[in-house]
Amino acid sequence: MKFRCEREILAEALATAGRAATGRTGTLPVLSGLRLELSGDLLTVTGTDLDLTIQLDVTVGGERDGGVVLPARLSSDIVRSLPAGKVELDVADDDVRISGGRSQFSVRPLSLDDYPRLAAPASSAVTINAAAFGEALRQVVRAASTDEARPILTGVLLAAENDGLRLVATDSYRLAVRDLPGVSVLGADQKVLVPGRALNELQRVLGLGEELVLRLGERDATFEIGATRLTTRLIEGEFPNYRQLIPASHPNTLTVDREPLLEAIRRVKILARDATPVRLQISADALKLTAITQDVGNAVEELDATATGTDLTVAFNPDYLASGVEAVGAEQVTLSTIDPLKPAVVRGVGSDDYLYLLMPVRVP
Amino acid sequence: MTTSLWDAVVGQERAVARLRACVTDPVHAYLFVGPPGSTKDQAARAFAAALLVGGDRPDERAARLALAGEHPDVREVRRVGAAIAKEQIEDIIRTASLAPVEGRRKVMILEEFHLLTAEGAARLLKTLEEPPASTVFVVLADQVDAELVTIASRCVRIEFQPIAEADITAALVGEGHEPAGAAAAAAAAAGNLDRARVLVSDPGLAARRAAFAAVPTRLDGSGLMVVTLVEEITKLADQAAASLAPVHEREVADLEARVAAAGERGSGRKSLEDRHKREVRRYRTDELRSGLAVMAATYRDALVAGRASRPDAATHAVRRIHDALEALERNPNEPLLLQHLLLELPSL
Repeated sequence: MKFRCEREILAEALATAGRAATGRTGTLPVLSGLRLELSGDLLTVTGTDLDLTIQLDVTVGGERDGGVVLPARLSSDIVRSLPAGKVELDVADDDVRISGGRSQFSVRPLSLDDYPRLAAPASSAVTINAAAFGEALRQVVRAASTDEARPILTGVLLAAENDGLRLVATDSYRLAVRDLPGVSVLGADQKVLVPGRALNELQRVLGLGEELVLRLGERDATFEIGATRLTTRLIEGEFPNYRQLIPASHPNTLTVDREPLLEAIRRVKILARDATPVRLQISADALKLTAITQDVGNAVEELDATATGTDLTVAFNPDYLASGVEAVGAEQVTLSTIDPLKPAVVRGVGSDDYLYLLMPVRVP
Repeated sequence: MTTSLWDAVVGQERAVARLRACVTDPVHAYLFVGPPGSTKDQAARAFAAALLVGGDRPDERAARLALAGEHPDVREVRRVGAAIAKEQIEDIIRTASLAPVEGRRKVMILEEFHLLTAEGAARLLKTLEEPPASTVFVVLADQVDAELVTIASRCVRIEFQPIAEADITAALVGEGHEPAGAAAAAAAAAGNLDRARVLVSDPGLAARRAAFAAVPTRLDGSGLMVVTLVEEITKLADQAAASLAPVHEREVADLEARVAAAGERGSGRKSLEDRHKREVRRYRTDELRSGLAVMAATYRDALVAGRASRPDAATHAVRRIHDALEALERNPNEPLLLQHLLLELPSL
């Protein structure tokens, strides 16, 4: 393998793919490397820690096709330190020569044959607006569990639903569901479970382009933004049947401005220590928030609101409530309840595509 | 080169035969039980390779990587602290839930699981009972303790025996050692191939065995002699453990090379140092154990040959040495244990 390329381009590619390479102990030694593959003028750089793979395509001046695995940190440091201008990389039998200007480095490669043979991304793809997908992730990933002992709940479910794509996450205290209509990437009833960790990483790179190409395979999901591909292994297992959690109808609905409600929760939370619940006293034209912590004090806040149905008092974990209200992308939110012990639903007024369900806390 | 995946598994015909039979249609979890050095670790890798390749084909890439412990779909979980920590259990559960990287199956090899805590066992149980379809667990343990009983009941159990002396000798000779030295090392290794490998290249072995065998005749009933002997024995055990040094130095050199290439962070220096300390400690204990066995054999030989002046005292001595051997399990103060023992032993 032999090619020439601008230093900046190669350095950038090595650094980006290098984010997925790992030097952690207990992992395979070859994972501390990056795989470079040249075919014609197309150089593909791959880094993986097995859970997450970052791959980039770069156009270079190719001279001889081939592949090599380079130590990630070392090669990235070398290329970055070379003088600006063209960089040449030439793979001989047992070493790799990296040169630029009058500097020349020779590096021992890692075993190409030992590098994991990652599956090729699924061929069927769909293009989504990156910003819209990022917003959907923002709304849903928050409800995924971080408890590694329950791996299935750490994932976000992507499922085909009514000619669209549905994203679902739950940590068993709350549930977030977001629909992206018109995005048909999966066959009917097909669904995949993507680790929340990978989606957090994805959110970071979504800003790099306007369009996102999504490919869902049997064992992995691939997200392409520009020339960067992010692939994650899927979680195997059956996602809980979340539909049965969503009540068919709610007799009581409260409508309130989103910003003032968030502010109020934030203030009242000061007195709600150690996840003390915040009580919501709902009446026809007002909402009263209360937090009481024994031997410390209490906080009360009143807001203008409209409500239909019966007056009632219901209590929630303030963090979970704020998280749901914050996720809604509308100016006004509705809180629908059945009674103080059944799951309540937060939605935005005028936006039917997002739903955040949370369990009330029993208070005396 | 390698002709069979199972070449590194020594003297375990029954276990290997059972495992070979399991390859075509494996269940979700296996438990390999056997003493240290009974090559169950090698058997686990061989089994993983056989599962991934689907037969005994050691030259395929997947098999080669699995045997070397470097296959992306074979995860080997090694203990980090004194026991299997909660974080490790969580990592096992998380990894088990993910789809395989290359093939349709992945194998999780969980080492030293006799050191599992009750809390860890409870956390792991559900995953081990019902792992995702692609996962096969191979749990390794020296023995099945109370903490492991529940997990053991969810696994197909494969027993590994201490390796017969003849098999160890043959293995050592096959690795290019002198037959005589190999036989002596095999005799002192008590069925532990790892220990035999160290002993065979240890020139002090014969001298140490002679020194232990001489203890009963040197005892003269005086406290001074007991103290002197205990000092000598302790020194011998230290010398024996020193033969681990070349292996350890090599591993530290490897680590230094990695640090030079990838940086100090996450290099695992601490865990390597800890592991070396544990190995030295265990090796010393093993050395004492085999030395005490030699001493017991000296009394027994004297009894059989009718040379013992007081047969009942010699019988008692053998029993006392066996008590001391058991006490070694509980990590005692070595000099105190030895002094106590030698004070009670009769001279021959």
